Amino acid sequence: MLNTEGISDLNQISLTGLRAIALIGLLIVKPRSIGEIKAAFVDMNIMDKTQSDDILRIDLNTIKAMGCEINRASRSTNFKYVLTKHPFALPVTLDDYKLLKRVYDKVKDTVSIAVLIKYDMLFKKIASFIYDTEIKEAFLGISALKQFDIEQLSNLEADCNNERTITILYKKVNSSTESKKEIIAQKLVFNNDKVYLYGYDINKKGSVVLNVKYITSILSRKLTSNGINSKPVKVKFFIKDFGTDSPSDEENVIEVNDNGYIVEGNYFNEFLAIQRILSFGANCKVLEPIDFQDRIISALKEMRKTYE
Amino acid sequence: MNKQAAKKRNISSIQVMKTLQVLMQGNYTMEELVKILNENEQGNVFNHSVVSKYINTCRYCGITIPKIHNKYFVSHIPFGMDITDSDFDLINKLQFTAQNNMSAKASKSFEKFLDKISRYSNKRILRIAEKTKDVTGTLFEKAILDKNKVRLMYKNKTIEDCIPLGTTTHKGRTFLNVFVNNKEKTVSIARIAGLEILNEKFKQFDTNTTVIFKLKGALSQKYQLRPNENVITDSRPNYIAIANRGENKDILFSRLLRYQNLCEVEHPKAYRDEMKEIINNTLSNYGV
Repeated sequence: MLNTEGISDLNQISLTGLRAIALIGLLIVKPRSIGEIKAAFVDMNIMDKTQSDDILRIDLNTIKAMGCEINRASRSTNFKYVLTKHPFALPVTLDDYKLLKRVYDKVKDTVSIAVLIKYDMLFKKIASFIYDTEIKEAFLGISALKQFDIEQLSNLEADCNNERTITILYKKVNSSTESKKEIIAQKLVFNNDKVYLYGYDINKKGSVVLNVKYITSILSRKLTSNGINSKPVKVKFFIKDFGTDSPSDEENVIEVNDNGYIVEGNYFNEFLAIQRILSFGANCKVLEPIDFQDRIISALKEMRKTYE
Repeated sequence: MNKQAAKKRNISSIQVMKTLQVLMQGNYTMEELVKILNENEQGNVFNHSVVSKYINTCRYCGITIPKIHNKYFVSHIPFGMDITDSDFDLINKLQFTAQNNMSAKASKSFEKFLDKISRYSNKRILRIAEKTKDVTGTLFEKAILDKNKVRLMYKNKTIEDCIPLGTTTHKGRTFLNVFVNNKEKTVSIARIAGLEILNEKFKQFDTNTTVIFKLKGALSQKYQLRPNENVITDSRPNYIAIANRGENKDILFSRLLRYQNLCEVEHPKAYRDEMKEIINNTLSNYGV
């Protein structure tokens, strides 16, 4: 930590000041005993090993006078000094928290789970530098993934990237029993504060969307890809404009003309494809396949009945 | 512990730490530093040479204190937060969002927050870019505040006079909500070439429309309420009626359409009629 090699003229610096800052730095990193502090100071060339430990006790009092709170070295702390508060902690406020949350809330729905995981880790990192308990807890509560097991999500994300086959135990909230499923993991999606695993159910031979909260255990994972087409529903449609939306990862604009766009979508399953197409309203018309167009018309007719 | 040692403190250590504390709050010239540091002292404890010595002490500790435009500031502390390149990218994304999707005041406050993070990081350079103003957004907000109508000039050269209602962010993009031809409309800011604030005033407009919709069957059981929603009738497992306040109409309609016949807009009547019209217009695309 210290750059003491260049100390040629002690008049240029305050040696006691140097020790005070070094001491805070050492205790921020981890709790230390008086012996460990001395060893570090000797190593940094800012204390001679023949000097009395009382010098260090004066240093400890000095940093306490500056606002540091240090737990007494006792049996319960393994005879180490524990720094619980210091004047160089990150001075963030509850207003900072509210602002960060507002900005993050605008971002969270636009990024992938992988990025949300990184944000979760960043907020935890910032929180670790905050000593005020209320503000610290507020920062820890910003992440959209705060209720999730981050390690599990990271593993599932890797499974999806490699389209691995995983065997899971799944238990819906209203169900009394767990079911065992063999799934080819395809995509992890964050939507309305829930995380969904899109995949292919090998036993049911069809696409599934599973709420990750209900995955109670991952029993095994095969490290190789299965080679099954992960987005089997292909739809070609015309759209006048995307309105408040924009093309998703599953959609490619294949033609642009004066009236709008011809888009090809490759979706995980028919249910998701129908939802997506309907969300565009009258701006959109399905071109192919015809049987999918029929399904959209049927859905719309059922919707019309609701308003009759 | 030796009782004598328990009482003693190093005065110059305290002064070094006070100097560091001030430097972590902002960028100061030597004169400003001396003045601030002496404010809470009896007499002039701090002077140029003493403060220089204390800055040197901090530097020997590995704390980077550059002097730019004659001002000293802390740009890195070795025991600060370890901000990685990946963290930079995340911070940049937040910063970009604040600059482009939030009010000038909120964006400025966010810059101050990032400045704090920057000072308490162990990185020597944290890329805090200069704030860029989104002129269209700023003018639009001013028009709402002053209750003036606006003229939107689109990139396709068309022009539209309308009442500004508010802005919405959806999937990282910004939209202007306006009232034109007796209808609410959502316009992507990317489509706007220019905006003019008109002298014509408009009366206070209620943008906080409450929409009531019914969700039926399985959807009523598993629907997760948004922060701006509450259940007003709970007849599960048959249906629930939900009141949604202030959500952008186009975004809400797009979402409700996904729920197919498990959803029915009930109130206001104009919204119900519009939903009906959307369904009929969509069917007419197929000649039905």
